[in-house]
Amino acid sequence: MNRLSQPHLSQPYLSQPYLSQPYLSQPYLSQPYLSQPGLSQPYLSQPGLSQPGLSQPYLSQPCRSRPVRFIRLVSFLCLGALAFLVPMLGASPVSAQPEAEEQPEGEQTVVQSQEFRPMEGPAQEDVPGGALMVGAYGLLFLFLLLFLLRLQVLQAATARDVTRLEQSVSSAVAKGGADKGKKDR
Amino acid sequence: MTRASSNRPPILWLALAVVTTVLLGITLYMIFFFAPIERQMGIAQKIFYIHVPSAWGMYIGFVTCGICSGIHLFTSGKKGRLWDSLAVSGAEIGVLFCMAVLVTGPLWARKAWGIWWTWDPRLTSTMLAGLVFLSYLALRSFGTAGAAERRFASALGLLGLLVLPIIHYATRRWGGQHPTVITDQGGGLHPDMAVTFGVSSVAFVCLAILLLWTRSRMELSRRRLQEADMTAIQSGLLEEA
Repeated sequence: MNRLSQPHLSQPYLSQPYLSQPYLSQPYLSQPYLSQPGLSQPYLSQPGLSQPGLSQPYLSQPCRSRPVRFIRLVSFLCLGALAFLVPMLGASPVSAQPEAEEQPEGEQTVVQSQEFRPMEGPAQEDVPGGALMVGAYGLLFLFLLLFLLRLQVLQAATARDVTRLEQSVSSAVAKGGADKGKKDR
Repeated sequence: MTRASSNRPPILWLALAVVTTVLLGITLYMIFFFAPIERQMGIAQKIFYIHVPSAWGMYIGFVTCGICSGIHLFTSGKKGRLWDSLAVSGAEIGVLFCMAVLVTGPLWARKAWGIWWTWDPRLTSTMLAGLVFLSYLALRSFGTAGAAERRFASALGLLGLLVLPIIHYATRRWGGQHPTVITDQGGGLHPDMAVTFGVSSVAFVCLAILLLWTRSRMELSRRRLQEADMTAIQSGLLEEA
């Protein structure tokens, strides 16, 4: 007999009330419970409780947990390593090129440029330098343009959020006024 | 402070924007009409005037990200928000200029060395730094990054700071093919080239600072807005969307 066809593994079994959606919407898992000050960060990161609007304020609290202490330890180590690394790298610069006699015969080496000198006479090039230069300048300005476009998108998103917040506040204030009027009557 | 006055950009920002624009204009003029064409490289040598200054912009962005990430790990509240915003902005600016360096470099290399790319120490370490800070931005972009994610990203930003001295000293320490024209070991630049390079460097540094300032102000505004939204929901003034 196929095990999957057992009654206790079939679909109706999974649709029992204690596994269904209403169970998760019990009061002790709802918004007031999440807003309790004692609730810690790991609970908020549970899939069933990950309400982004509610988890954010708690996550923005200063953390003193073990991972944060670990990150701080790593940070101290990084800073220490940086303090050693800079003098170590800058202490004894080696020659930029190995000695000529150490090079095996027939092996081609590329000479490291150490100066630029102006040209005398007309230009004669085998590789088209003009196209490379135009490409470099064009791509640089394209990157800058794309970054400005990104700034514009971010700015538009922020403006949209501000408008939404303003509308929500206005409607909440109007609703509060209406409720107060009913109570007065 | 009224809303109008708070929305107005600071005078210093405007001054920096004007100076940057003027300097970039002067730089372009000097590159194409003042600086001589180099004897061996030809006109492609003019890539140098944007390649190296882009590297300065990259350093400014990454160093800002690394330092501000480090400070963010030890602060919280409004101060933490400020440092974190600066760190994110620094990473973005750094990656922007790093991409410029990594694109203009191969175009130079094609002319100078006949190849697009080589695993030279400086080239490799620059790419490594770009990847580290790209990872930082990727980590930050996973949905609504909470405090824990932000702190992990800050640790990564601080780690990325370690790569920067390696880039700087790579050519001195391990040699390689990368030119060393502007170091004390190099033969130097023609005076006209040196002046052009100096102006270009200043222009790019101003541009990097201007972009950093603009982006960090924007990030800070976004964070303040998000927190105001959360506060309104918590206090029951608003319902969650």
